Amino acid sequence: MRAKVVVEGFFSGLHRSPFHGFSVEFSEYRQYSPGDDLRYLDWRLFARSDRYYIKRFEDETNLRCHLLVDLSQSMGYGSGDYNKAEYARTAAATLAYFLHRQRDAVGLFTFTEQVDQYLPARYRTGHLQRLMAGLHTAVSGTGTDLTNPLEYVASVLHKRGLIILISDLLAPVELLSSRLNFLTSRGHEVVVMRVLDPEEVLFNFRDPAMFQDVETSRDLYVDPQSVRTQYLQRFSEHEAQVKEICANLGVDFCRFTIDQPLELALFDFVNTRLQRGKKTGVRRFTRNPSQVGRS
Amino acid sequence: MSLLTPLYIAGLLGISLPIIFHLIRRSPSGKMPFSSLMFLSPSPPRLTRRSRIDQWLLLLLRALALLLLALAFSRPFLRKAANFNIAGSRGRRVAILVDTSASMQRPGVWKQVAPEVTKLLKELSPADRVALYSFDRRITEVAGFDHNLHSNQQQRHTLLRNQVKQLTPSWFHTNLGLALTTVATELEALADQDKVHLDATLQVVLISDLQQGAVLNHLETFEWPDNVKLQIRPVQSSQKTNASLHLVADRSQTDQTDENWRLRIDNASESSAETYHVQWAGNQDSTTTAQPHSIYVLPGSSHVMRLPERKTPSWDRLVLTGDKQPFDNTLFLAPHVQESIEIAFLGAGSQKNPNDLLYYLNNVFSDDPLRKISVTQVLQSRELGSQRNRPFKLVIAHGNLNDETTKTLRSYVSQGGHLLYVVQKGTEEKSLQNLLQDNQVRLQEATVSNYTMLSDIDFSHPLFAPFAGTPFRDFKTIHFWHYRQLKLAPSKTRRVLARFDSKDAAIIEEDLDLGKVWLMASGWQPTDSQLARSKKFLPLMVGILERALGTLAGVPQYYVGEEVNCLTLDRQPKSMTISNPQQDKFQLKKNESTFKQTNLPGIYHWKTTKNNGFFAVNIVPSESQTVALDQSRLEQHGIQLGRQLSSEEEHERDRQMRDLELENRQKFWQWLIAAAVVIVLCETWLSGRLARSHLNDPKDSS
Repeated sequence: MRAKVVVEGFFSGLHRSPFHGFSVEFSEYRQYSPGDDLRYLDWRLFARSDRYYIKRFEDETNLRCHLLVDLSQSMGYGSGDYNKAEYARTAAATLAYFLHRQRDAVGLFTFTEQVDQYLPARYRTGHLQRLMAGLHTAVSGTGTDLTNPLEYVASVLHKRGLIILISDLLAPVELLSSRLNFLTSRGHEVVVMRVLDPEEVLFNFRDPAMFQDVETSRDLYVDPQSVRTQYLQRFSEHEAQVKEICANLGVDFCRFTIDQPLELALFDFVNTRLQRGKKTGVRRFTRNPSQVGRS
Repeated sequence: MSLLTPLYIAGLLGISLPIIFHLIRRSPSGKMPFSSLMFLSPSPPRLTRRSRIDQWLLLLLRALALLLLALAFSRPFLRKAANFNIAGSRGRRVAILVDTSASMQRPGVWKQVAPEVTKLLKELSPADRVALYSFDRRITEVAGFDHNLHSNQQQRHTLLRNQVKQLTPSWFHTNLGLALTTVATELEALADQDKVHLDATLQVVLISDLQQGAVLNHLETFEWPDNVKLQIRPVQSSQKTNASLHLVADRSQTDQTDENWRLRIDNASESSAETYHVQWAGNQDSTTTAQPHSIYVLPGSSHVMRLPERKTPSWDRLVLTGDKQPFDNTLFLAPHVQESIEIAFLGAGSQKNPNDLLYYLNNVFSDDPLRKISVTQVLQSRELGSQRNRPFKLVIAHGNLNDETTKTLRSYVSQGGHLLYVVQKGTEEKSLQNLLQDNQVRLQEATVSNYTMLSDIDFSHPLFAPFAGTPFRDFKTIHFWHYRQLKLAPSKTRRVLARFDSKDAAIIEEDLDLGKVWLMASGWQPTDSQLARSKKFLPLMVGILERALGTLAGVPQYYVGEEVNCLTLDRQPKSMTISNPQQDKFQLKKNESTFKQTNLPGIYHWKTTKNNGFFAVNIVPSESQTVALDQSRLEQHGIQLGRQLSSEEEHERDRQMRDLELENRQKFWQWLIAAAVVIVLCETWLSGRLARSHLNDPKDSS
């Protein structure tokens, strides 16, 4: 997996750095000027040409990736054998493992109305286990609010990197645009992965029932037969708004329904990104696409 | 097809319940958790379409089961033609007993009686016959069965209603037992004797306030007839607070005065008030100035107190205030009239000389609240003349009497006067002969050795009757030193009340025309005897005075309806006139000594030629017990409470009995229940099968 945008980094890795520094891949020479680090002086060239030149390298950095996982009550909903939160955890863990294998630093935020847990991006021994443990947090809270967590993330992350937001985005979209803009304006690359239950998408209920909001416990008597059309219309409007916001900010958006096999869904996602990376001339560096999905 | 208990058919409504429940709404089966309601809007419950009833067969089976159950419980049967003969019914004989006792005067009670009778008459069937009785201490037939037998029922009822309107409550007490036993006996006798009333059912309807004070004594020895039923229609006062005033006294003791009387205030157990006021009042001045006495009596208890002081003798009633039922709030007490009695002492003598007769008289006759007695010494016999405003009640004479004096005394006695003549030493035989107009009278001084005593005393005579008791009949301590031997021929008008040891007469009573003469053969002064200084002297002299007065001291008390023995008022009640509180006058007939018209409470005034006085009549205390009588007390006496059925009702009852019998014989309900059970079994099997197929089809489960 490669990031589209070159991010800051010092450790040699897969990703191209905007800084010229010590690296294996040479970029250019530049005439020495007083104050330059003598370590980068090309003594051989000085011997050949008796001029001082500084070697400049194309620095390879590792990716700083932060996973933002929504663990609010609404994520606890699932009409099938497993719920959205479990699906989101698995997806996050897969990505974390995958990035770790690529020696990328991976961090984790879990949030409900606010950020509940923050593990800074690291690449070190044992960090992956901590991430896994962090992902095991149970769903909680009384609502989903993307505003506060995104503000917090923007304030905490100073170095640019990749931010993957995994959520059902079942919240008003009014402030989503500005908060995502906080991140993108700081140079972060943001990917939004929306996890949904098939019933949320299709609303295939038949019998009238007292529907209970799992977050607020509010009851509402609903006859699905009569409100289905309206529901689907509102839902698609909401998603269209989210997509529009993402498109405007250059944020990647993809939707997973939890009845999709995860490995296939992630494979498609990575593939799409790789294809996009080729188009934009970013170097492809993946060990093996078949590794995707093994978490 | 008929139904024995048609109300159970209402159970058919149950059939509609499953349909209604199904159609109204498909109630949410629990709660459905959902991730977010942000895209949902509430949709109101609505009637689902008729086509949503999927299991028509199940519904039909259940409805059928309910139908059969409802039918079974309503006990259907097939009616057969049955003839009931009601022509032979004689109807009921209804005796209406209206209480007219004093307690019916309570506010709001009497005015309920006429509407109650009207209501009762409306309930009667044409075959029923009615009689009307009123009762208080006695029972009165107002309208019997027979006199209206052949007239129109409408007319009969109008007549009865008018007669009820003419009734008024009296002041008498309630003798409920007498009334009930009399009416029951009459009804039974009617049914036994008269062919018209044969086979009729007998009913007594009692319209009364049914107070606890009603007298039930007659019921104790009476066997209530089996075929007579008593229906009670109580008329109650809305005011429950009642207190009453009564005297606590032995009414036979007529000489009691205000100091001896005790007043009892009873507060009914249903009363809400606890504080009452008692004050004296007069006949005229209703706004009396007497100070009211506050009395605190708890409901259901009584308070006994002394009579408040009667400051004005004309006050004749005690009035209780603070009570809602005024009929028993006044207690009448005859007014105090202190009688002035003058006694003449004719002859010489000094009030200061212990050896004179006069000396002792002033000490004997002392005043009391009812009498003011004065002894006047008269020296001239003409002072005894009848032209005096107030004649002397008693003349005491002694010594020699000249002709004029004898004549005057003789005429005084003939006109009803009373003379006590003490024969003194030296009294001439002639004086006595003139006085008694008996020439055979012989008088001489007796020879007494040492002393003599009284014997052969006539204790049956009123004068000595007070001494008849064993502790008092001892006269041996009274010694006589001197006496005069009187020899009088026996006569019907002459009685020897006591003799000396020597059998000579000591005290003689003789009737002379309207009056009386007592002769004493010895004086009471110490020169003659020890009589004046003995304990017997005072009662003896007072006895003589009372014989002379003819009246009895005291304030007699009577109850309404009680007969007044006029002899207790005056010893000679000839030509007595009695006026009641309404100033109606009643003349007592000759040879009659009882007054029976004590119909009203109040002060009665009696008058004879010589005397006059008052007596008070109050309502019977039991009448003040206004708390309602428990009807079970009547049942304890064997009275059958309830209502006899009219001929229509009897017919209806017979029809029901026959229906019951028919239904018992046919017993269709058993078949219906069996069919219902079969259908329920079918329904169970079918629903079980449908449920299984439902489970197997996952599409239906949602």
